[in-house]
Amino acid sequence: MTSTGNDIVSLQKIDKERTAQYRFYSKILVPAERDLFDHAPLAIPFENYVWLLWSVKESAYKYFQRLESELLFSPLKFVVSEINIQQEKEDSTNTIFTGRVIFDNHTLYFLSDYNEVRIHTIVHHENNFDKIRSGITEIQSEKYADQSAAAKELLKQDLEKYFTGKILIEKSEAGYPEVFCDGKKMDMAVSLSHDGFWVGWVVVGLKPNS
Amino acid sequence: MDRKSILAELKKVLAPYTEDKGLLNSINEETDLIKDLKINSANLVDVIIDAESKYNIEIDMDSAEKMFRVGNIIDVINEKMKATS
Repeated sequence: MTSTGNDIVSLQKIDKERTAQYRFYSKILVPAERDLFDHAPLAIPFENYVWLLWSVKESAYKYFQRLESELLFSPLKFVVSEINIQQEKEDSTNTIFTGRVIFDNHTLYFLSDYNEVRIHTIVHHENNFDKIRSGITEIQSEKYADQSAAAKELLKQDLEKYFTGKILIEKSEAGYPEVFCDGKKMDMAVSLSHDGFWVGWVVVGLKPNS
Repeated sequence: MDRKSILAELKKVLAPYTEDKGLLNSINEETDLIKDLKINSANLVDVIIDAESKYNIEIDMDSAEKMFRVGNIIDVINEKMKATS
């Protein structure tokens, strides 16, 4: 079964002081991940690193929860074992982080698009993100219902470029989104996310019929 | 502390992270923090830390992963309060 996961963190909403406290970050990072920050020259503040890893872990959780619907999210069980940095473009303020996250002997690869205001992470079972479609948009409202609707609408608009039928995005009983075209469930995996004013989406396994 | 009292106090812990405060009036032990109260998952650690402070307990992450439903949270708080008394 194809799976995917993505997550957004609005860095404008985080509590920097609280994040930097041991009793907070120790509920998200294992000691090896704390060491990784000290040894990898990532050039970002520690509190942003904590939320970068949170976004990786939550994305990986979404990936595995699609495969195992009863799975519960425990950040310490998803361990980032490698993280690399690359500047997106010379004139870009965005930075791309890539690396590996391990869960229960399974490895996923992540790609995080980072800037000072938000982090958007997607995970994949291969270390190649070329065939994955994803998007991130800032909207005017940070109300939960508006964000949720906007994430669905933006994904729908992207899919409508490839399908002529009526696209519908609905949550499965297990809580992850599924795509229907003219009432038929599509064989692809999608994931939605939102935080603050930011909404994001990812599609894996897109096979256009038109 | 009985479950009803913990539930009443728990509403105060959840309030800062619940956008629609009206939803808190109808919470019960079956209420799911993310699905029903629409609490952002990024605030779950905040909820755990605030519960630790309020009840003077320490919640390990094995216990914390069960804290997605109000009834489970009350179970964990009860268990940790008994362990520290």
